[in-house]
Amino acid sequence: MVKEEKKINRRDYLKYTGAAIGGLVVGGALGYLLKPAEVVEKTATVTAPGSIATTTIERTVTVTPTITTPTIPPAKAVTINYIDYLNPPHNKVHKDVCDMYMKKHPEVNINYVIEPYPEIGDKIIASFEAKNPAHLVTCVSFWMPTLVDAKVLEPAPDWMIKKLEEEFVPGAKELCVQGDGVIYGPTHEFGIHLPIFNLDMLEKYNLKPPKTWEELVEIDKQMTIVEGGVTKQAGFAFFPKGGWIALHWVGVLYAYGEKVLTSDMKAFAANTERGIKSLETYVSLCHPDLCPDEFATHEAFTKQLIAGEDFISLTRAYVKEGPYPNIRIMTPGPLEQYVKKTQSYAWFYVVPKMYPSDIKEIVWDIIDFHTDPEQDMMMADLGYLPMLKKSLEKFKEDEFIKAFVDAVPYTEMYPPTSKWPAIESVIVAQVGRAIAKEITPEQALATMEEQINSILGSKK
Amino acid sequence: MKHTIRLSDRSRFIVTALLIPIGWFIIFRLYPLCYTLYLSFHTYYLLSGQMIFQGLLNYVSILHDTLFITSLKNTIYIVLGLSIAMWIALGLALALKNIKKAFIRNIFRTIFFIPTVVMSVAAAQIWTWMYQPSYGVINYLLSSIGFKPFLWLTSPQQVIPALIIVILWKNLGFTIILFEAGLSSIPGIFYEASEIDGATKWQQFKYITWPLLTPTLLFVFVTGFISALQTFTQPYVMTMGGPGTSSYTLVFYVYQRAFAYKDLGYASALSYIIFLIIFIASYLQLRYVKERVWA
Repeated sequence: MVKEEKKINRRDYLKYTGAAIGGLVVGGALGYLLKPAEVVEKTATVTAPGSIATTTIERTVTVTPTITTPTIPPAKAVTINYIDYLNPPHNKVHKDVCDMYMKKHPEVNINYVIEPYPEIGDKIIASFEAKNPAHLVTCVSFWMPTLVDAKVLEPAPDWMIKKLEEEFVPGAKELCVQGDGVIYGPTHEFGIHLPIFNLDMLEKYNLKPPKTWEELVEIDKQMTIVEGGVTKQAGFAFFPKGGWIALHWVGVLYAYGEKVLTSDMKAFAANTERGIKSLETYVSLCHPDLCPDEFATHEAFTKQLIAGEDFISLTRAYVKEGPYPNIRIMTPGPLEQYVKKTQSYAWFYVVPKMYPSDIKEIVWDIIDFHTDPEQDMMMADLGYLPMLKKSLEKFKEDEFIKAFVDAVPYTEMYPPTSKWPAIESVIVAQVGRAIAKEITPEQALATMEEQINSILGSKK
Repeated sequence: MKHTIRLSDRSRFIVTALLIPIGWFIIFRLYPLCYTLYLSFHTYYLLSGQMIFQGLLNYVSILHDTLFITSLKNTIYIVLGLSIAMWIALGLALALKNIKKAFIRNIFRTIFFIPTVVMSVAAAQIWTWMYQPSYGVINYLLSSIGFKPFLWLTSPQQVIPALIIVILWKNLGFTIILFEAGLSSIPGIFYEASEIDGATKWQQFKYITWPLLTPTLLFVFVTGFISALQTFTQPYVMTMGGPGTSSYTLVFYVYQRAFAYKDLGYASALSYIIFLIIFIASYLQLRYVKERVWA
């Protein structure tokens, strides 16, 4: 039996199509009408002491967070999205702290989102670009200038600045001041670059921990064993791969009393005699064949190096649970070449400016809770540097952790410019070529100067 | 008077079935393509949303960009390396075809194909460890047969060959399968007839296998060429473009420009330059090789 073709009446066809289009138009109009109105808000910009206080009138768009239901008042039930970077032990503590907060405040639901480290920066920036950032964002110092320049962050309230001043370890507040002189949020994790030495190996070779970078170079020369063109042992080994190259060389550069950029951030400043020496020092301490990456460095350190990689604040976590079991380690603090200084970075809690005040208040309350002594100790117990003076008291006997905390005032971050990612790429490429002996340190710095000045001058 | 549109089940099915791919094509292909082209004429500042029209400045700058030239050279090096590798795949496919026992043939086929199903990032990580000059298993094995250790990924001269080996290891199985499919599509009757005429194995290869395999060869060559030009995972995971800039490839450079430099306009222009390179090279391949393809 042949199935009869189904006929659609043309009028019906037009009717249904018209209804569909009409539905879309009405739906769109309703959506537009229900969208919160654009309002002009007076935004007071809180500035850190010492800078000029300003009050600005800004046109801001008040957006109702997509996660809240308009019919339910935010005070009764609100979901706060919190984005953090992937680091399992750290994530567990932060998740536990969020759970503790939610237990205390049942009306608040914290949606803790974890993103892998290499992608989180781009995702955070993209979320701001899409006008849909998380309510609570954890942001590393490298990406802060981009958000600061775009004026998308809420300055920290006065009480938080006071807390930073009174309760945090010395130097912490200064680390939180951004390029525009404003504090946008407290830090919850420092990364301080200090050399770490394998005490057993130092004793075995009857060596004292070096105090300057040049002393370390000498020790490295004594200790390095090369067989068949491949390094089998080294006194010290940076892992020269990707962003680590810039992170480490800049630390050495600071100890040589130089800066990456001029203070007005308009030109490259490291192409000097000391800058060249700092790069020679750094390059001579790179043994890419022995320690081509972070993991190989761990492996090498456990076996034969007298001096290992500077594992910043995470070191203690590694010592407790990571690849350094049964190894006695120590750090003498920042190595002093011409000045006592080292490189650091920090993770900050920041709050997007775009959300309504009541939401932001809740977010600041969560940050306050996260930076309370009990929660800080949870991180410190894990191996992170304690952020609060009170927590530090419990680590008085711990020489290792104390050395890191004592180093905080001697640290300096990357120059606060949103062009840093591009500058860092140039440093990584040119210093990498110097490590590979493709070019000399002098040539590397000359090329860096040319390319970085071009970036800063927005020239192609 | 009633006007009716007769839509058969078949027509309705076609319309419905086409709506999804067309929608998908417009949203995920056409729009990004057009927007990337638009971006390539601008300098776009993320977050502030500021977009400044630059005309052809990005394109002109690329031509004077030493890093682009380095990336292009490295990519061509990889393309050439992998082109040679194609013949290895053909040889292996021919060898497999000549294995009479299906069981043994399947074992080899599986061995060659396993790397293809391994995740690229995981494979790259494993190879990074294997290439480690001091502790790596490759140098250990080479030293056990009297070779001096290689620096592999840490040497500007050895890094590209090291990456080619990884890409080859990863893609070889799939290429062999393609050649095998091409070989099995050649009717056996041709070989039987040639045997009766007294043809040698070489003559069979020259006058039967080769001409009838040319469509597959063309396909493998063009797709392999395009995929080699798009090399990204291995340099990103294994070397981050290093040492220095020795393993920068075109797509890695686009990524660097877009996500490290946050220079989306320049990265878009670079993407279009790569598109042009692929387009011209593929066109030339198709034009000049197609004439020699037996179809």
